[in-house]
Amino acid sequence: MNTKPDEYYIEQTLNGNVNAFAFLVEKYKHMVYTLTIRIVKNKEEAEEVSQDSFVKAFKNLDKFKGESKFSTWIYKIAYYASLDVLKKNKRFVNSENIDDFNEGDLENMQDALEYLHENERKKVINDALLRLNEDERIILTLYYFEELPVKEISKVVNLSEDNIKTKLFRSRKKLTTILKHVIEPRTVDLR
Amino acid sequence: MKPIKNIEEITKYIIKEAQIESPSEDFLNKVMNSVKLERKLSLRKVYQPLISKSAWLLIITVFFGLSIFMLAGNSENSYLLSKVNVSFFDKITSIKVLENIPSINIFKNIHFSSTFTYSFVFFSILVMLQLWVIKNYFNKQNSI
Repeated sequence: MNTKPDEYYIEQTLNGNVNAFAFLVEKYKHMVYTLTIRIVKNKEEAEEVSQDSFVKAFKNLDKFKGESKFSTWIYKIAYYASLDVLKKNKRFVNSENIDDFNEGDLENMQDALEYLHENERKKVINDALLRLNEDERIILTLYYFEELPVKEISKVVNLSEDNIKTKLFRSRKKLTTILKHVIEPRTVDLR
Repeated sequence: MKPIKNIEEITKYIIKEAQIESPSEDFLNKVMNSVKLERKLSLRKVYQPLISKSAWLLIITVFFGLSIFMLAGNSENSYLLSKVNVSFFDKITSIKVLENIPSINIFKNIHFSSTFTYSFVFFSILVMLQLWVIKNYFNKQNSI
């Protein structure tokens, strides 16, 4: 569709061509919506927060200095807007503390996941994701889906790069353990 | 698909399988409508100070003029005071009716202790400081 860089559309918008902003919305709406829904966990609220994030970005576009990517900036706005909704509704999740994964289970898990129907697989994975902390969900999504470098992620969630690496390490373990418990119930040790 | 060997790969596989979520069909329209509305509002919103520059100039001139006049008037051998013909006031006060009106000085009985004065000044400085801090806070909030 559009091959021009984000900066072009930002400049156009700042020069008064409001329609240029639509390209940016179209480009980032899926990721912004994914991030917000993974935090607020409610379609209507996520839609509202995503819209507000874009409007806020538009209002503050002249303050965007281009020190980071536009994507990082809009993700940051969406991340904080979503956390504000959680704060308002006092809905923070106490994530589970699971640490008993061993690498030998990997192939079994992959087999079990592939055995599931696509929609069911998506649901199982999303349910497991929702059992992580908000920041862990966002960090995993940005790192593994959006493939953002750790440096950019640290700007979005306002944590140090070392902290992000530690969180990635922990949340990988947590997510795989939760999934193991969900898709292989017979293998779970019920001590 | 080739078998996954480490936790890094399986996590990547899991997150990719979780896929991306899509907002509603008219998401773009809704955002653009709000954006266009914002644009209209921002064009209309031209801030004008309550007191214009010329009014400020007039206020300052009058204020300083009066201050200088009053300060100069306190001194008996003031050049300015000698120029002002105050005999008109003498005539007014010599009228009998006016003599019967008791002079009213409402501030006569009000005295401020120096402790009160200092604390009032200090309090005012703190209020100004707070205004400055709050203004900076809001400016920062708006500039993410």
